[in-house]
Amino acid sequence: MWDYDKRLIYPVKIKNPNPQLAKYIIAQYGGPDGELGASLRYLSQRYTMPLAEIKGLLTDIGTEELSHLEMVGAIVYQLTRDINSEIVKKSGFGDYFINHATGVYPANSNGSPFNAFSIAVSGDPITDLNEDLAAEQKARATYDNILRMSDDPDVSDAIKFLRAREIVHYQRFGEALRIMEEKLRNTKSFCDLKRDCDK
Amino acid sequence: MIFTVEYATPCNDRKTLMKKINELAFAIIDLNQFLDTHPDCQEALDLFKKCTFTLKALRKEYIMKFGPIKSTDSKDTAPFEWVAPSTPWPWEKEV
Repeated sequence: MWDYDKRLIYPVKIKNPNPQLAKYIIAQYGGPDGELGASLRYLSQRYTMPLAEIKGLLTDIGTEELSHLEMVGAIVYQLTRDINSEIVKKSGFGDYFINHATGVYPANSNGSPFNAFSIAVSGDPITDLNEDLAAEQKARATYDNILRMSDDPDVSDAIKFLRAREIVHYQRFGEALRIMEEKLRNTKSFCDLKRDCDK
Repeated sequence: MIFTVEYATPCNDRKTLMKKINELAFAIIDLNQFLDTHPDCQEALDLFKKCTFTLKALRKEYIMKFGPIKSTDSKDTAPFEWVAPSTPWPWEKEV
């Protein structure tokens, strides 16, 4: 269900290498509150959503998150061009470098590989939508932390875009939850939504 | 507000035209998500119509003048445009 345009959703034009900053930012590539987790969570939850509006929203936001994942990858990639082993040693990037050189690997800032434990797919629409609201805030808060650590305006510009999108997604998921609860209110009892496993 | 003369006039600068496409395509993504949860909002639907119509025209212009945006826009002449240096991959640092 995907094709792609050969362009980033928002430009990433980093002028100055900075592997230390790359180490912080990689948290949004493979970390617990990052874009890989976000896209996988939404694209996985969508199958068992009972309403078309929510299947659509999860697919559309999940897809956008993939384009964010790509932006974060591009930032890490550009921040680690034109460096040498001295720069690597001094920047704290050395631990990552040993196993990945300047490759872009899904891990958090501590080097822990991406783990699906950081996402939840319960198959219950109310549960999943609440998870999604929390996920958007966690991502937004992590971007806040990255902005606290960034002194590079090129990087901060791209990060501010990503942060703003988390806030909008939070709005959308809030609306989806409202729609779902409304639908349930019009059924016999709250959370009385038959799933295939109930038949 | 975005549908000023500036968007409608043909553009011969690749970067400027791509910037217009990026902006409009992003507006559509945002509008799309809004419409997912507000499927009956006529105002949003009208704006969606204007945006998608304009974007189609901009994409057509870009592809004709500067090359493919989707792989299926590629011409059938060798070497395959999609992997030619003239159409770089968007994560590369700008030269």
